[in-house]
Amino acid sequence: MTQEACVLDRKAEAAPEAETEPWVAVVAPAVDVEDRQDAVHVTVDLPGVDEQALEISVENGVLTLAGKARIEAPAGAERVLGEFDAVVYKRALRLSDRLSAGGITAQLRHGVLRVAIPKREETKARKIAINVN
Amino acid sequence: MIMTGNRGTWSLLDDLVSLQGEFNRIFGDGRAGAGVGRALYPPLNVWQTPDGLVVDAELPGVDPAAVEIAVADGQLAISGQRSTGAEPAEGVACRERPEGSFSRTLQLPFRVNQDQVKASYKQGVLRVELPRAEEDKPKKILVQAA
Repeated sequence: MTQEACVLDRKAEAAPEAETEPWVAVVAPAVDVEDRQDAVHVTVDLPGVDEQALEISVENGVLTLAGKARIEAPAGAERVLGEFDAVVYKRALRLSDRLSAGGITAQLRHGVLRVAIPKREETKARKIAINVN
Repeated sequence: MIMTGNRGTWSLLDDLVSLQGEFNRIFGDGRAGAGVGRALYPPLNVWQTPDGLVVDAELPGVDPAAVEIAVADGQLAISGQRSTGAEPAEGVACRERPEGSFSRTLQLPFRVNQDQVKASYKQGVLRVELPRAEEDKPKKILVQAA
Protein backbone atom coordinates (compact mmCIF):
# COMPACT_ATOMS: atom_id res chain seq x y z
CA MET A 1 0.00 0.00 0.00
CA THR A 2 2.59 2.45 1.18
CA GLN A 3 5.00 1.73 -1.59
CA GLU A 4 2.30 2.51 -4.12
CA ALA A 5 1.67 5.92 -2.64
CA CYS A 6 5.06 7.43 -3.13
CA VAL A 7 8.15 5.79 -4.54
CA LEU A 8 11.59 7.33 -4.70
CA ASP A 9 12.39 7.71 -8.35
CA ARG A 10 16.08 7.01 -8.92
CA LYS A 11 15.78 7.47 -12.65
CA ALA A 12 14.44 11.00 -12.33
CA GLU A 13 17.06 11.80 -9.71
CA ALA A 14 19.80 10.79 -12.09
CA ALA A 15 18.49 13.04 -14.86
CA PRO A 16 21.11 15.61 -15.79
CA GLU A 17 20.64 19.11 -14.44
CA ALA A 18 21.29 21.54 -17.26
CA GLU A 19 21.63 24.60 -15.05
CA THR A 20 24.02 23.03 -12.54
CA GLU A 21 27.63 24.10 -12.78
CA PRO A 22 29.72 21.04 -13.63
CA TRP A 23 31.90 21.33 -10.52
CA VAL A 24 29.01 21.19 -8.08
CA ALA A 25 28.22 17.75 -6.73
CA VAL A 26 24.61 16.60 -6.88
CA VAL A 27 23.72 14.69 -3.74
CA ALA A 28 20.59 12.77 -2.78
CA PRO A 29 19.53 14.09 0.63
CA ALA A 30 18.19 11.80 3.34
CA VAL A 31 14.42 11.42 3.12
CA ASP A 32 11.67 10.07 5.36
CA VAL A 33 8.39 9.15 3.70
CA GLU A 34 5.28 8.44 5.72
CA ASP A 35 1.88 7.41 4.48
CA ARG A 36 -0.62 8.94 6.87
CA GLN A 37 -4.37 8.97 6.77
CA ASP A 38 -4.99 11.99 4.60
CA ALA A 39 -1.61 12.70 3.05
CA VAL A 40 1.84 11.37 2.29
CA HIS A 41 4.44 13.27 4.31
CA VAL A 42 7.93 13.68 2.92
CA THR A 43 10.68 15.07 5.14
CA VAL A 44 14.04 15.97 3.65
CA ASP A 45 17.29 17.07 5.31
CA LEU A 46 18.50 20.13 3.38
CA PRO A 47 21.10 21.84 5.57
CA GLY A 48 22.39 25.13 4.21
CA VAL A 49 19.48 25.60 1.80
CA ASP A 50 17.27 28.70 2.05
CA GLU A 51 13.86 29.28 0.47
CA GLN A 52 15.29 31.11 -2.53
CA ALA A 53 17.55 28.19 -3.37
CA LEU A 54 14.80 25.60 -3.11
CA GLU A 55 12.78 24.25 -6.01
CA ILE A 56 9.80 21.98 -5.74
CA SER A 57 8.14 20.81 -8.93
CA VAL A 58 5.75 18.17 -10.17
CA GLU A 59 6.03 16.97 -13.73
CA ASN A 60 4.56 13.84 -15.28
CA GLY A 61 3.65 12.54 -11.86
CA VAL A 62 7.15 12.94 -10.45
CA LEU A 63 7.73 15.28 -7.51
CA THR A 64 11.24 16.72 -7.63
CA LEU A 65 12.84 18.47 -4.67
CA ALA A 66 16.03 20.36 -5.41
CA GLY A 67 18.02 22.87 -3.44
CA LYS A 68 21.44 24.43 -3.52
CA ALA A 69 23.25 24.48 -0.21
CA ARG A 70 25.44 27.41 0.69
CA ILE A 71 28.63 27.35 2.68
CA GLU A 72 29.35 30.59 4.45
CA ALA A 73 33.05 31.13 4.89
CA PRO A 74 33.86 33.53 7.72
CA ALA A 75 35.76 36.67 6.70
CA GLY A 76 39.43 36.03 6.04
CA ALA A 77 39.06 32.35 6.79
CA GLU A 78 40.92 29.35 5.49
CA ARG A 79 39.17 25.99 5.67
CA VAL A 80 41.34 23.53 7.57
CA LEU A 81 38.85 20.67 7.84
CA GLY A 82 36.10 20.07 5.29
CA GLU A 83 33.44 17.43 5.76
CA PHE A 84 30.53 19.07 3.96
CA ASP A 85 30.28 21.21 0.88
CA ALA A 86 28.08 23.54 -1.11
CA VAL A 87 26.29 20.77 -2.94
CA VAL A 88 23.10 20.62 -4.95
CA TYR A 89 20.54 18.37 -3.31
CA LYS A 90 18.11 16.53 -5.52
CA ARG A 91 15.49 13.90 -4.83
CA ALA A 92 12.57 12.69 -6.90
CA LEU A 93 9.46 10.78 -5.92
CA ARG A 94 6.95 9.17 -8.22
CA LEU A 95 3.47 10.02 -7.07
CA SER A 96 0.69 7.55 -7.44
CA ASP A 97 -2.67 8.41 -8.96
CA ARG A 98 -4.12 8.36 -5.46
CA LEU A 99 -2.30 11.58 -4.58
CA SER A 100 -3.36 15.10 -5.45
CA ALA A 101 -0.40 17.05 -6.82
CA GLY A 102 -2.41 20.25 -6.79
CA GLY A 103 -2.70 20.44 -3.01
CA ILE A 104 0.97 19.98 -2.11
CA THR A 105 2.19 22.12 0.79
CA ALA A 106 5.81 22.65 1.80
CA GLN A 107 7.60 24.19 4.76
CA LEU A 108 11.33 24.75 5.21
CA ARG A 109 12.69 25.26 8.71
CA HIS A 110 16.10 24.75 10.27
CA GLY A 111 17.35 23.02 7.14
CA VAL A 112 14.52 20.50 7.04
CA LEU A 113 11.88 20.50 4.31
CA ARG A 114 8.47 19.05 5.12
CA VAL A 115 6.19 18.35 2.18
CA ALA A 116 2.64 17.07 2.46
CA ILE A 117 0.99 15.53 -0.60
CA PRO A 118 -2.72 15.15 0.07
CA LYS A 119 -4.61 12.06 -1.01
CA ARG A 120 -7.45 12.41 -3.42
CA GLU A 121 -10.80 12.61 -1.71
CA GLU A 122 -12.05 9.31 -3.11
CA THR A 123 -8.97 7.39 -1.98
CA LYS A 124 -9.00 8.53 1.65
CA ALA A 125 -9.93 5.94 4.19
CA ARG A 126 -13.45 6.73 5.29
CA LYS A 127 -15.64 5.56 8.03
CA ILE A 128 -19.03 4.54 6.79
CA ALA A 129 -21.89 4.64 9.18
CA ILE A 130 -24.16 1.67 8.95
CA ASN A 131 -27.76 2.16 9.70
CA VAL A 132 -29.25 -0.68 11.58
CA ASN A 133 -32.99 -0.82 11.55
CA MET B 1 60.96 39.09 12.99
CA ILE B 2 60.20 35.94 14.95
CA MET B 3 56.75 34.50 15.46
CA THR B 4 56.10 32.74 18.71
CA GLY B 5 53.08 30.83 19.84
CA ASN B 6 52.51 28.22 22.49
CA ARG B 7 53.92 25.80 19.96
CA GLY B 8 56.70 26.73 17.64
CA THR B 9 55.30 25.51 14.38
CA TRP B 10 51.99 23.94 15.10
CA SER B 11 50.09 22.71 12.14
CA LEU B 12 46.43 23.27 12.58
CA LEU B 13 45.51 20.76 9.94
CA ASP B 14 47.51 17.97 11.55
CA ASP B 15 45.98 18.75 14.90
CA LEU B 16 42.50 18.57 13.53
CA VAL B 17 42.89 15.53 11.38
CA SER B 18 44.52 13.37 14.03
CA LEU B 19 41.62 13.80 16.34
CA GLN B 20 42.09 11.27 19.03
CA GLY B 21 39.05 12.31 20.93
CA GLU B 22 36.79 11.80 17.97
CA PHE B 23 33.86 9.55 18.49
CA ASN B 24 30.41 9.07 17.29
CA ARG B 25 27.45 7.51 18.93
CA ILE B 26 24.64 8.39 16.64
CA PHE B 27 22.35 5.73 15.24
CA GLY B 28 22.42 4.05 18.62
CA ASP B 29 19.10 2.41 17.99
CA GLY B 30 20.64 0.41 15.17
CA ARG B 31 17.83 1.22 12.80
CA ALA B 32 18.53 -0.06 9.33
CA GLY B 33 19.16 2.50 6.67
CA ALA B 34 19.82 5.45 8.93
CA GLY B 35 23.13 7.04 8.14
CA VAL B 36 24.74 3.94 6.75
CA GLY B 37 28.27 4.64 5.67
CA ARG B 38 28.57 7.85 7.63
CA ALA B 39 31.30 7.38 10.16
CA LEU B 40 31.07 10.74 11.87
CA TYR B 41 28.06 12.77 12.81
CA PRO B 42 27.58 15.64 12.51
CA PRO B 43 29.90 16.51 9.60
CA LEU B 44 32.09 19.50 10.41
CA ASN B 45 33.77 22.32 8.56
CA VAL B 46 36.54 24.03 10.47
CA TRP B 47 37.79 27.46 9.47
CA GLN B 48 40.89 29.21 10.67
CA THR B 49 40.47 32.95 10.92
CA PRO B 50 42.88 35.65 12.06
CA ASP B 51 41.10 35.67 15.44
CA GLY B 52 40.66 31.96 16.08
CA LEU B 53 38.60 29.07 14.83
CA VAL B 54 35.09 28.77 13.46
CA VAL B 55 33.47 25.33 13.55
CA ASP B 56 30.36 24.61 11.47
CA ALA B 57 28.32 21.47 12.17
CA GLU B 58 25.66 20.23 9.78
CA LEU B 59 22.72 19.53 12.10
CA PRO B 60 19.44 20.06 10.25
CA GLY B 61 16.24 20.00 12.26
CA VAL B 62 17.89 20.06 15.65
CA ASP B 63 16.60 22.26 18.44
CA PRO B 64 19.60 24.57 18.95
CA ALA B 65 18.78 24.91 22.64
CA ALA B 66 19.25 21.16 23.06
CA VAL B 67 22.77 21.10 21.63
CA GLU B 68 25.51 21.10 24.22
CA ILE B 69 28.70 22.95 23.38
CA ALA B 70 31.56 22.58 25.83
CA VAL B 71 35.10 23.93 25.76
CA ALA B 72 37.35 22.31 28.32
CA ASP B 73 40.86 20.83 28.52
CA GLY B 74 41.78 22.20 25.12
CA GLN B 75 38.85 20.43 23.46
CA LEU B 76 35.60 21.48 21.90
CA ALA B 77 32.76 19.01 22.34
CA ILE B 78 29.44 19.26 20.49
CA SER B 79 26.80 16.81 21.60
CA GLY B 80 23.08 16.36 21.69
CA GLN B 81 20.12 14.40 20.52
CA ARG B 82 18.52 14.41 17.12
CA SER B 83 14.91 13.46 16.79
CA THR B 84 13.40 13.36 13.33
CA GLY B 85 9.87 13.70 14.64
CA ALA B 86 8.85 10.66 12.66
CA GLU B 87 6.06 8.62 14.14
CA PRO B 88 6.95 5.00 14.66
CA ALA B 89 3.55 3.98 13.34
CA GLU B 90 2.95 1.92 10.25
CA GLY B 91 2.88 3.72 6.95
CA VAL B 92 6.63 4.33 6.86
CA ALA B 93 7.72 3.95 3.27
CA CYS B 94 11.23 5.17 3.69
CA ARG B 95 13.31 6.27 6.66
CA GLU B 96 16.80 7.53 5.94
CA ARG B 97 17.25 10.55 8.18
CA PRO B 98 19.63 9.85 11.05
CA GLU B 99 18.23 9.89 14.54
CA GLY B 100 19.70 9.46 17.98
CA SER B 101 22.41 10.95 20.13
CA PHE B 102 25.56 12.42 18.63
CA SER B 103 28.86 13.69 19.90
CA ARG B 104 32.01 15.05 18.33
CA THR B 105 35.13 16.31 19.94
CA LEU B 106 37.85 18.47 18.43
CA GLN B 107 41.29 19.04 19.85
CA LEU B 108 41.87 22.79 19.79
CA PRO B 109 45.27 23.96 18.59
CA PHE B 110 45.31 26.94 20.96
CA ARG B 111 43.78 28.29 24.12
CA VAL B 112 40.36 29.81 23.73
CA ASN B 113 38.87 32.86 25.34
CA GLN B 114 35.98 30.97 26.93
CA ASP B 115 33.90 34.06 27.67
CA GLN B 116 33.88 35.02 24.02
CA VAL B 117 32.76 31.68 22.53
CA LYS B 118 29.66 32.27 20.43
CA ALA B 119 27.22 29.89 18.82
CA SER B 120 24.53 30.49 16.21
CA TYR B 121 22.21 28.29 14.18
CA LYS B 122 21.07 28.98 10.65
CA GLN B 123 19.41 26.76 8.06
CA GLY B 124 20.35 23.67 9.97
CA VAL B 125 24.00 24.60 10.34
CA LEU B 126 25.42 25.23 13.82
CA ARG B 127 28.32 27.67 13.95
CA VAL B 128 30.64 27.89 16.95
CA GLU B 129 33.12 30.77 17.06
CA LEU B 130 36.17 30.20 19.21
CA PRO B 131 38.39 33.26 19.59
CA ARG B 132 41.97 32.58 20.45
CA ALA B 133 42.97 33.77 23.93
CA GLU B 134 44.83 37.06 23.75
CA GLU B 135 47.81 35.77 25.74
CA ASP B 136 48.05 32.81 23.39
CA LYS B 137 48.22 34.79 20.15
CA PRO B 138 51.52 34.89 18.29
CA LYS B 139 53.49 38.01 19.09
CA LYS B 140 55.86 39.90 16.92
CA ILE B 141 59.27 40.32 18.46
CA LEU B 142 61.37 43.08 17.11
CA VAL B 143 65.08 42.47 17.00
CA GLN B 144 66.95 45.49 18.18
CA ALA B 145 70.17 46.20 16.42
CA ALA B 146 73.06 46.69 18.79
